[in-house]
Amino acid sequence: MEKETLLEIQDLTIQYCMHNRTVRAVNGVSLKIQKGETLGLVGETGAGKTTIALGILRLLQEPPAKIAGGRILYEGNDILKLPHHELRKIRGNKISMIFQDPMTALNPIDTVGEQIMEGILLHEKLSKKDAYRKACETLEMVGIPAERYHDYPHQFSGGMKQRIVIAMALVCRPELLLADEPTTALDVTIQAQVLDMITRIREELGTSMLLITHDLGVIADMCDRVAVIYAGRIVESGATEQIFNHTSHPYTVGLFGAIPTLDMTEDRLVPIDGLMPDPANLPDGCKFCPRCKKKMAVCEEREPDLSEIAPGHLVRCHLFAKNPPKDPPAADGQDSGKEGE
Amino acid sequence: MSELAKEILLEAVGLKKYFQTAAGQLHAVDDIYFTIEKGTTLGVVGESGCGKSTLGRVVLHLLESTDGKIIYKGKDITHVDKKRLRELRNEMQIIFQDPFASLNPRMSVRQIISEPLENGGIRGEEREKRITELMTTVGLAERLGDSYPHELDGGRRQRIGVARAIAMNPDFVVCDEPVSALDVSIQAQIINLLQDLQKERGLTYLFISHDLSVVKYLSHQIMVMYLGQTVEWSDTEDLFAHPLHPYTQALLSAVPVPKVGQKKQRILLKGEIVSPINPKPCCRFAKRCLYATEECFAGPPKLKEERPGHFVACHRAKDINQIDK
Repeated sequence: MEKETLLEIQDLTIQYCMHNRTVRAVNGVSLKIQKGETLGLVGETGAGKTTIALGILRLLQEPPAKIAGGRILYEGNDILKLPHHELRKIRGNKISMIFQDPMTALNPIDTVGEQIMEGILLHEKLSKKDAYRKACETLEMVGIPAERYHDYPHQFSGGMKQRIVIAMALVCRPELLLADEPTTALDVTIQAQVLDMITRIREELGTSMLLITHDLGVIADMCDRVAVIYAGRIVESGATEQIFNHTSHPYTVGLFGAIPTLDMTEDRLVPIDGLMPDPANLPDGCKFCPRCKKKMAVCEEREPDLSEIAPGHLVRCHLFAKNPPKDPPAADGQDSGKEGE
Repeated sequence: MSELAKEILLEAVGLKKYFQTAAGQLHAVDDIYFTIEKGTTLGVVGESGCGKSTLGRVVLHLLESTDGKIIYKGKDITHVDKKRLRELRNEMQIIFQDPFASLNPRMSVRQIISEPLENGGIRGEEREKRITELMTTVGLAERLGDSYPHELDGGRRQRIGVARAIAMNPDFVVCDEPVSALDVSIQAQIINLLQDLQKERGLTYLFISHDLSVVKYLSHQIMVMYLGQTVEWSDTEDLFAHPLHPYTQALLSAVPVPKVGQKKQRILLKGEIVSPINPKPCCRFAKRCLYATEECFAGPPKLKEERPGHFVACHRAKDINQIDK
């Protein structure tokens, strides 16, 4: 079935300009989110995940942030070119965001009900009474009794606060949800409840989602497609099944090797050596090559382009450039490790 | 495990820590029993607010216990004088969760590592030598010695925390969520470091974490806590193969697995952890439990050995798991 593209990011570049240096947070990122699908964006702290999400909604503090290039196409319009009043019609209405930390995403001096209702009053022509009813319905939808409309954020537990943040994001029935680490601050049993709820509501409303997380377990559970980001660059993207079963980029391979899992049998984890490069001082060639076990001479000279190693599966690595691997799944390793020498 | 690992290093007997709050008595740690054999790791898992960190601190005398006993190398150390406590500080150490908050921003790396050595009476050249050795042991380049914590990334900072903890060659280290603030690629480096140190120095760990995968990976035994109490305690393998407590079962099923096409049947719990202030004398998990009966609300369950070496505190453990009597 042919799917319609809901949001398309083309070559997005975002920098933070400090007085004496430029932090290159997002470097030419292109992503596509189709109607009804969930795209996972995985990466470590400082990889540029949150900057992309904030960039989509133009919520970045400009300056210091600067959108240096690219386009974000939503319904055929470039969000980056929209005037302010048009943007406000999209924010919280068509595209909304779930923030990572429910403790700081809520206003402590307003009741949670008022905070949920704010979005309705801004975007919909409803009377206060109807808006109140709708806010109550949304609270119930995320599993919080409507009686608690008049309570303040501090009267709720962490998991419930995150539900309220989700209710705020969903109240206008957005087409696209940007979820920035929605469950990272929560305990696993609560995380299971919240993820279950997000899935259920998304199915009901047909919402698309960009799910930002560093947890590969959550990705496997929730996402249709995955993009792996490293130092502001997409290094690998594809269907979840491709990324998990035919992991190709050395960084993605490294990520999988570094996490302990419940069913693992190995005696030792394989950490990725070294650190992420300073985004104010990125290497010229491949951004990952200083840490890469399969580094070749060409890696330092020139950054690889994305190559399609299987339909829809893109990898930014010289190992896969031009000469597509003969037997694709063999990419995870051991034997090709010698090429770097 | 080798036969050597039979010596018990630390034992907690009915350990309790209550806090007095405006709303009533908060039972942070309530009647905890455990033993740790020398050179092994006891993992403590549970959700935020279940009393894991408080337990770690009570064991180290960073908080005074309300009741119960702590037995270290066969001696009761629940009430000790200041002098003995100073000695114990050299033998029992802690690695804190947040490498950003637990290091003094005004001290250089060498100064931070030197502090426990100074306290232990090691001075002069010997101290400088030891600092350099420690930095090598934990994988910090010597050139970083004069750096300050803010100049370093989370992984390196946590290495300083590890160096500081092992400076006086302790026997026992409480690791209080030592990797939860770190990125996965860095997390693996610290986990491997902790594992190497245990092998080389025969360290005994009390490893506190909310991350079951990490705990499973590192621990020989695991204790699951819920609202200040032990709900289950056993060998790591047995716990994962046969979780007996309904809470442990839900906890294990809730961990997302990084594999596709392997949809686990999650046990979704109702509600959330209740308040530990003035808890009712019943099973504290009963309200969220799928199997709770009247019995569970009538009185607290006792920790019982339901399988060899596998303890569980649940009135219905037998019925739920069909254990033969």
